[in-house]
Amino acid sequence: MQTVIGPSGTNYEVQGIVGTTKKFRLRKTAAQSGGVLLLKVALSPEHNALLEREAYLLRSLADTAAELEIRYAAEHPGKLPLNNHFYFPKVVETLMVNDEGERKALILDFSAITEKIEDLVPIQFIVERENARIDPRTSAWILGKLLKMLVFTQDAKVELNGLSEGNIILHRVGHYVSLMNWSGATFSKNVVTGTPGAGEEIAAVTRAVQYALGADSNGKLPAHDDLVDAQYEDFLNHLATGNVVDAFEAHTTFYKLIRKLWPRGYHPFTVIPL
Amino acid sequence: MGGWGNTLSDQAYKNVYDDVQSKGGSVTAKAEERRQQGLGLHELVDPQGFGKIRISVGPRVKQKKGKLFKLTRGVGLLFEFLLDTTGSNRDRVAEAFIALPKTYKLLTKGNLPVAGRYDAQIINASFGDRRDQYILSRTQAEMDERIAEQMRYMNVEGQGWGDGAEDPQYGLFAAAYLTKTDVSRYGLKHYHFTATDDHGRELDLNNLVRVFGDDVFEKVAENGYDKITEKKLPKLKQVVADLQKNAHAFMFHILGNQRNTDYDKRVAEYWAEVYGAERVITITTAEYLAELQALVVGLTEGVITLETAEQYLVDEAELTKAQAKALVKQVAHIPLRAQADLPNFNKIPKAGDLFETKEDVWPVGSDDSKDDDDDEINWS
Repeated sequence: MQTVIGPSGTNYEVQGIVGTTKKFRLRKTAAQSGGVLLLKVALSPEHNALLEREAYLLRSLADTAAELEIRYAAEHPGKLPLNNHFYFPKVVETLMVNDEGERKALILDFSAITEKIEDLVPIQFIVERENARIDPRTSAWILGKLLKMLVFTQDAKVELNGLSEGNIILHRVGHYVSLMNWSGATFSKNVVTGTPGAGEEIAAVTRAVQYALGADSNGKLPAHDDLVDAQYEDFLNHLATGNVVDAFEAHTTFYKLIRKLWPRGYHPFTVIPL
Repeated sequence: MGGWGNTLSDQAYKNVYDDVQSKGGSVTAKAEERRQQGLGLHELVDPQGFGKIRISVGPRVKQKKGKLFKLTRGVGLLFEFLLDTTGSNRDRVAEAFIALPKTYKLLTKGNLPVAGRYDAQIINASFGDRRDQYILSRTQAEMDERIAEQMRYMNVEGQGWGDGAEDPQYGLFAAAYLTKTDVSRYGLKHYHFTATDDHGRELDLNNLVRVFGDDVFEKVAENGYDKITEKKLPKLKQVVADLQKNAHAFMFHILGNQRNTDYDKRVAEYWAEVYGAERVITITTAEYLAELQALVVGLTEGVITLETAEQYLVDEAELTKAQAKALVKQVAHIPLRAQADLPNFNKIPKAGDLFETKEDVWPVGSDDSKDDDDDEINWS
């Protein structure tokens, strides 16, 4: 078991590999100070800059989320908090790993949304490893949260560049939705409300959910008792065109639809074998 | 040609500044006087002057003992600042002159000079409109009081003309094709910054010849660009792409001068198309150009990081935390460490290295290794 020490003096016990990209390795990590931690380390020094920006961006998002929360609470007393900080991990600290060149690493904390890193699974797992698809009402809470995430990130002018079924992660019981890898995200005006970029992000999350629903290449959903007509399928296909360029409007309209279609209340994560 | 002389000391700048004040306080009075007298641009800032090609080299001095040449201050690194001086931008040269000590200090002095390992050389350039008498002024690459002195000859006509675009393309052409730098010999890039609030235009042959002279294409070919001819003028996007092969080139888009957010948006899209969005920095005021330029250089050189950038500005540029935070956010999207990650970054000669000849690329004793998405997760 390897131990790395952060600039804070914290010892991080680096455990198993959670995943690897072409540029980074994600390893489960533990520290006495607690948290549900991942060590994200650059595979070579040329990728250090990406982690540097990721850390800056995540910290900036955390500040923005906190500021918004204060404003929202003042303007809407008694309402549930926005909890935008659920969509991204917290950067605990950055450090350098000195074997195979000076490589940058981030310690990321997911404890806002899970008690065990293993409970966060990408949408991809459902289809490819579990050979299953989600049911429509499960897809509704997933897509609803993804659209809410885009309201936040597009308003913060952050272009995500990572909205794939391999990067959208779920906590099935807690109904949390988040993104694992933020190294492709960047500050950009390309995704503000009304831009094609905003529409593309809305389309991307919709397509990921359609994939998890087992939709075919035309967006046709498998038959299900909760789909008495084509309204839900048509709405998803409409979002998937990229022509809807306002995430807040998409989110509002989406919730109006699903409240019309299905009763409110907690719907447990439900899958159907393929 | 830059490469000789001292550096820009505070006293050297003050001498020039005091002379400006003693003659009425207008930084570009000398240029205005020449224009009124029909004398044209001074040779030092005339794009046609001194052989047209601006050359930046780190000075090497022959040793008194032996036959070797000593690199006195490090590899020459060129910084070129191309400023819009049309309409509401008419004071940019004066502002840059006043900001010059700060610009120079952030690059070369203090506790964390972002270009401290190089011999920093500066070209100042200003552009107007095609309807101006002189579209472009461009100084030599200098490193001492000549930086300040030559700014006094930069032509500023300050006309708006209101024709929906200005003409930076000749300055960009010069930067791309009529510039030769020391640092490029090591596979590194120099720095180029343009600041404007409006669209640019494509090159026009008549104006190109008016700015650079009849032999412009010969000169461009002499500098290695023989495919550029009067029949094959590159589009502006290609000019910037060619510039970016040798320079970390950035566009500062100044918002708000047009007082029209739709117009600003179109201008932003235009420059994003020409430069790439990651190299366009949107600002609401030109007040902090010196700090922003230093930030960009520092982040590109890897001397500062996004984590340390705010504190850097507080410590070195004496900004408040709030000001620093706002500036860092404006540049957070640029390609980080773009210079630091180049193959020869850690191998370039340093001050004090000795060379067989003035022209040798590598010092004596160095070995000959002259070198130099979509990122999906594979889940376990």
